[in-house]
Amino acid sequence: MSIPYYRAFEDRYRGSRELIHERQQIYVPFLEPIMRLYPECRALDLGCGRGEWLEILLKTGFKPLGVDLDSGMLDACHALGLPVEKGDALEMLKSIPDESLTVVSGFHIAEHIPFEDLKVLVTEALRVLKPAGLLILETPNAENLVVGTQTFYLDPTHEHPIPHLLLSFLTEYSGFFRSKLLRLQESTVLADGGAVDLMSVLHGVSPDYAIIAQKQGSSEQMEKFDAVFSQDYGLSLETLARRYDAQLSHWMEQNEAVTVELREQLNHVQEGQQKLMARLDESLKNEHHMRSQADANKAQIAVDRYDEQFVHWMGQSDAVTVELREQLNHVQGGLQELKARLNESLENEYHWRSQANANEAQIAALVNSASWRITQPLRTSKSLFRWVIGQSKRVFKRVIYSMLSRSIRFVLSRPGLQLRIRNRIKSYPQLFGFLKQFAMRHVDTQGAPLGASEDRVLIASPRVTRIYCELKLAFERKENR
Amino acid sequence: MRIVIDLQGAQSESRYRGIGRYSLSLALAMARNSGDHEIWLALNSRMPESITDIITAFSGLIPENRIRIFDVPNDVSPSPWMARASEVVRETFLSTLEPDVVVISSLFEGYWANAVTSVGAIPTKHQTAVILYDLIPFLNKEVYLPTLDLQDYYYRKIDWLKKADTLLAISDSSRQEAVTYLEIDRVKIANISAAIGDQFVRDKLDSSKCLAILDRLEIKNEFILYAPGGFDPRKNFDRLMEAYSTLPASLKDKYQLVIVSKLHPQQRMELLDLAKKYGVKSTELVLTGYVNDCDLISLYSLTKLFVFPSTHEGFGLPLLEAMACGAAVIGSNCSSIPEVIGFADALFDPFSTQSIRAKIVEALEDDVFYAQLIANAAEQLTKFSWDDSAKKAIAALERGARPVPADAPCYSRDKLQQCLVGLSENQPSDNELFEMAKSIAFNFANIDEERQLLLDVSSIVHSDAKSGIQRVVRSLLHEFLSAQPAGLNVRPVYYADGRYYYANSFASRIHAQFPESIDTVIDYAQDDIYLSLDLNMHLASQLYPLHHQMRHMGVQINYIVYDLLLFHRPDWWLSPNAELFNDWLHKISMVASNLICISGAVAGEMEQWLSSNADKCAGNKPAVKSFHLGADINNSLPSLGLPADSQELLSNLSDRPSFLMVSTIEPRKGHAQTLAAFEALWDEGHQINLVIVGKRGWLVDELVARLDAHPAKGHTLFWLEGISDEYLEKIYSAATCLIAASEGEGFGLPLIEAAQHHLPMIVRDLPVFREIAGEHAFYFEGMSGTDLARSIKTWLQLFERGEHPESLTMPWLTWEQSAKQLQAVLI
Repeated sequence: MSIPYYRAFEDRYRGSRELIHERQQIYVPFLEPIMRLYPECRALDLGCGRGEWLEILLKTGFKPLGVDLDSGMLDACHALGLPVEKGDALEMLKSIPDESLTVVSGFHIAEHIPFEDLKVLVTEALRVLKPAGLLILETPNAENLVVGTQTFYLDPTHEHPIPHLLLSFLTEYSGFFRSKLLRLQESTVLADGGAVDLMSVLHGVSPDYAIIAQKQGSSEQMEKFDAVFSQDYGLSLETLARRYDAQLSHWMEQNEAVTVELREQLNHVQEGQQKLMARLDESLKNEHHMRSQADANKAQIAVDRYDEQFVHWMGQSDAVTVELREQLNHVQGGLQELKARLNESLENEYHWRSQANANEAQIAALVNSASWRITQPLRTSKSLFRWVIGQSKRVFKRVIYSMLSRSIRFVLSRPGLQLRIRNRIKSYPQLFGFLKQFAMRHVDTQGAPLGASEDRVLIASPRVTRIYCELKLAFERKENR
Repeated sequence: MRIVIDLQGAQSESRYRGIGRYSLSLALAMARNSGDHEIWLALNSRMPESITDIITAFSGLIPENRIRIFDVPNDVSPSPWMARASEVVRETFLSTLEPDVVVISSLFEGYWANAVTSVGAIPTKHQTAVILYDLIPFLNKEVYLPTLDLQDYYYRKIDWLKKADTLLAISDSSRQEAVTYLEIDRVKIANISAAIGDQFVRDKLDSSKCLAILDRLEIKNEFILYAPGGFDPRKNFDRLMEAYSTLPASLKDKYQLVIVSKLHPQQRMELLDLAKKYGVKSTELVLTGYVNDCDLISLYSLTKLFVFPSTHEGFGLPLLEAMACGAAVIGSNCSSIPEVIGFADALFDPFSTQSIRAKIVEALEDDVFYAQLIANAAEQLTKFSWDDSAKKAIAALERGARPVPADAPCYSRDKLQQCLVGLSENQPSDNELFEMAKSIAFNFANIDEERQLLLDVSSIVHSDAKSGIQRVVRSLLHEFLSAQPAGLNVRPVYYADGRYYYANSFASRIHAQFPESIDTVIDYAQDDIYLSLDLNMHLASQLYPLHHQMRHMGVQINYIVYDLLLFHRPDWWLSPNAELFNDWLHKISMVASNLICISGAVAGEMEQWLSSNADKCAGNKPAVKSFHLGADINNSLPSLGLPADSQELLSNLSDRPSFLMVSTIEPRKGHAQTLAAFEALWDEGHQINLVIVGKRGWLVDELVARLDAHPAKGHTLFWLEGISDEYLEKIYSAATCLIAASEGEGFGLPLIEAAQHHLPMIVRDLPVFREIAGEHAFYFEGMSGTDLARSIKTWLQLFERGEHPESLTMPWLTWEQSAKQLQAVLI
């Protein structure tokens, strides 16, 4: 790739000088212990580029040297008075004596070189570092899914992403005592615990990471670095994913809580409704009960009245019977008299006998006709008596019968309620038709006289229903006024 | 002038007593003497037995459509609102008849009876006239109006009496009472007097019959008669007894005192007590109890003297009755009695026993005086006749006529409703409103809506067995629904559970434009027409009370009579059918207005049955009419399907002359005779086929066995059961001639079917077949196979020469024409 292209690329994507400077401040806590260990701290920055790291090293108090192949970059460094040399990084490293440097650094070089060269770089770095010296290698973090699949490849000179585990393993395998993973350059909002959306999970993980590997030193030396080595830096994929999940669960929980609440309220309302329905049923039953009570009472009163009348008639016919009996006695007395007189005359001769015969005949006729005439009223009163009983029996039967059929038809006898229900059901014509037919078939009027008063709205003819409803409405209107 | 007579007086319990007889007689006389005026009657539907009697009585005098029936709710003791509402409904009904005057025959009805009367319950534009009998209760409250209820009831009616425009008093004394005690203007009251029935003439009895009657009633020989016509205190039994007891013994020996009156035991006791009190001996007094008209007339004719000591009468009909029978009559000198007797010397003071006694003695002993009494009776008689009373009544109504003011109120449903709502403060119960709605629906249906033609289609509504009769019902129904007769609303109905329902869902299924689709109970009103299209034999006893009720309420009841075969030949059907049919025939004759037969022949049979069973018709005289059935030109939905051997059979048929019989195998269809005839013909060597198409029926097991096992079966004899219409068509085309050997038919559709296929036919010579086929068929007679074989041979000869009778031009009706004929007969 041509160098001007690379510079243009860097200008666009690497970030401004100030930004880099800002970012690289994070390493300073690692540099300061080194300063206290050695009076003279010499450092080497491989692929120093525009020299931002060199500036930081200088400020911290190191004696750095930067090496780069790009003369344009080197010119910029020269312009800032930074100690740089042109050359290949590995060659330069190999030419340095053992244990002569405190810090070896390479920012965004590891992804540019083949793995074999990287291995060599690490081994050589170990050789040239003093005890407790640091190797710093920063490279893009493929853990960030967008970086690992997209942005890494924007630079055509990148080989392939290097997982942090690979780099840290490499340093330890090569002989470094310990290494620290720093995830870098994540958004402060997210780092501070802001809301995680899906994009954040995909693209909010720290886009870069650095491995800081330390060469074995004495325990006092190593102690000085424990603090910085024990911290955690940056946002991992796992963290963000878990945070995202937690958010979702939280929202779900909230919804469930609301749902539960609503459901409770609904139950409450339904219970309330059921109670009302139960109360309505009860009061209907009571009404029905009262109604049938009233009917029963009416029937009872009617029956009592008839009983009274019947008793009265009985009394009257008794009186008549008594009178008749008296008269009968009277006549019988007369009869006895006559018989005596007959016996007297029988003692006499033939013409008295024939006269007596004639008398006897007359008496017989009289007796027959008299007793017939007298018992005739008795007979008539007897039949009257029987007729009266029959009448009251029939009436009694009719009363019981109508009471029974009336209570059966009571359900149908509430036209107001009936009309309301009718209107509601009318919107389902088939159901309505079926109900009507069923009700008409169900009401049994076999043998009952036409026009019996048990007829109700459902089994009335259309004209009658219409006129009845009009009249009822008119009366209700009048009542409301 | 249109005169509407409210004839409830002749309907209620009163109709057996004076008021009832008076109302009916006067109304009949007014109808006879109406001249230019129209006489209408208004009757209460709640007293139905009287309606038929009244219609019969007026038949010929008044067209039946001028006898109008109104309905009021049935309630023996109605609530105040119901009572007033009934009055309003009745008066509104009367006003819809648009009378010039309404004559109320008995205003004071209604306390015990079902009658409803009122004057001025609503503002009307017609005049009202009331027949005034007497004001006896008004003038004797203590006796006749003991309870407060009765008093209220009576005084309310008196108020109406005063409101009437004209009063028709039955005597001058009643007239005077009204003027004096009610302060009614004299000009408004006319005396129309009274009369008696024609049956009251002197009985010409020979002595043996005399003795028989007297013996039965236990009257010795000669007697003095009192027939009071009631048992009130005003009838004055007390003084009569006393007067009689003071008669000289000779007279008492000769003449007994006979009192003719229906007596309750208590009343009888009262009279006997009176007799005892005055020492009237049991040999002298005869209490006959109730006596029928016949005996009464005999008594009037036989009595020596008729005494009428009543103290207060409206008229005194018994006086006139006695005089009509030629009796010598003496009576009181007060109230209406002097007018009726018309002979001052014949009167006595009923409050003085002396006076009564003196007059009796005079009549019995003074021959001259007696002769005068007899002569007077004959003379007085001529002064009273119903025609006279009717003419006086009509003259009074004419005098009272006023021109109708232009802004006079007329009927509207809303006004009626308003009136009912504003009647009283009490809210009527739902039940009461409902009953009232029923009455209103009946009374005013004629005004608001068209009259209905109720077609009874019970048999096809639920399931259609497609029998011959049911096809007729369906076709007629279809015609009536497609072409509604003018002014009639065609409503198919059916019977279920004790009522009739509109067959709306059924009708909307078979006729798309039918407006309604839910079945409801039917309404009916006077003038509606009911037509029973089917023969509902098995429902006869359940339908009869319904039809009876409808007839009473003025619905014209018509039945279609298909035939009387079950009556003439019960052996042609299985057992219970004949009894059921006879029962049905009997019941429809009792209740029908018209019996419509499907042919002239059946109509003749029907008339014969009616004349020989006139006693079974309970006084009903239905008119017998006839029409002819139709036939479809094309069956709209023919069944299809030809069996495998159809081709073979059809070619067999075309090979030789083939004779076809199409009908169910029943005893009367004559298959046996035809088979015998053909067997004879085959024996003689004739090459002819016999094709029998028809399912096996009943009582024909032997014949069926013969057919199944017949040697000619499959060669020249073919029997096809249950074939499709398509196959039948083909057979008709292949056949040469149709044989109709039925021994009895109501109509004869098979003949028309043959004519539609242009098939010549050989038919039995029956009147009904002559009626249908005329000259377009060849007739045979005789019941044996030989007779028929002979006729067939003759026909074959004619056929060969081409001279056989053709059926091409035989006239027959389409269903449309048939329905039109039926309609003409109904309306």
